[in-house]
Amino acid sequence: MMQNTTAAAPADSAHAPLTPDGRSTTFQAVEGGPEQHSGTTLLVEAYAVLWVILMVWLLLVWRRQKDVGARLDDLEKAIDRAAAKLEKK
Amino acid sequence: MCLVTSRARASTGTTGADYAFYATIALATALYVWLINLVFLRVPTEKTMGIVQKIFYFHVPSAYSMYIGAAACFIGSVMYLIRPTDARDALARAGAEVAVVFGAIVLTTGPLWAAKAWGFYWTWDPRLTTALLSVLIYVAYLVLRGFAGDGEGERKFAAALGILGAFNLPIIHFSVQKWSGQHPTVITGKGGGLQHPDMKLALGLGFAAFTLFALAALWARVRVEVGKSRLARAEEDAIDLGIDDRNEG
Repeated sequence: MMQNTTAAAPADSAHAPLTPDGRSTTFQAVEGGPEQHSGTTLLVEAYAVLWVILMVWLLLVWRRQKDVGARLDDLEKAIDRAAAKLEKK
Repeated sequence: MCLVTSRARASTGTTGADYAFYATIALATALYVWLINLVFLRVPTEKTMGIVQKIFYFHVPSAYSMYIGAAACFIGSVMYLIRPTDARDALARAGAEVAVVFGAIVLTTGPLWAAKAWGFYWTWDPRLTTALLSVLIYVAYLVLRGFAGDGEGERKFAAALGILGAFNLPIIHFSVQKWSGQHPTVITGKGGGLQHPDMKLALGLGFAAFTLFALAALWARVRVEVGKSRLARAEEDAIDLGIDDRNEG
């Protein structure tokens, strides 16, 4: 975990412009450290991912059914054309 | 005119199967609503992992639903190789699709939990690796079915792949017991189990809701695939009889 030496500076100097002397000069290791991930955020993300995957799948199924519908329409038109030809005869 | 009327009649009317499907969907929806209420409002937070442990109630039932899809693919594939029919091929294809969908949920919700519990999203743990391998096998199955045509040979080759994919399922299941790794073993024989009645209820509800949804999805997909096969045959017949003046290709 990277620590910036300026992080411990007083609050009133937090927004002060960094001078060359104020920069980090060391990287110090720390045990544990602050949490990297919020459990709540991860839970919401997991839940959202679940429903996004299911909705995308539903969309793909819908598109496939649409394709079947279009093919059925073509077939019905062909049958109607053949029926019209038979009636003419 | 007569033809049109008979087609219109055939496309309407609710059968017993339709009512059974609607009932399955209604029950699955009710269970999902109960599950969401339970998980987010009643089930206690886990002691060491915190709120992120609640992913478990969706992650584990999703894995179980992946098994349902894979089992359907295996059964459909074996039956197709014994005696090829459209329905058996449709069962295999729909099963593979259900396995991929729920496998994708497992492989995304798991790492989100791991980010908090382990500190990293992914590791080559035996269960994670075998689960990924299984999903990739079913993705390969779907790619094959999508791009290699729908002939008898392609269907048989896909059936062999569907059977091969099923051999990995017991390996996924027993990998946490046979090999070392980091994946928890909470609900296996060696695990300590869930320590609160609401946790057990939520997991049970998760299993019930996801099982019903997976079965309904499988059913709907089989129906569409069977319809597509029947339509393809009707198109071929129409061309052969000279009814359809389009080219077969």
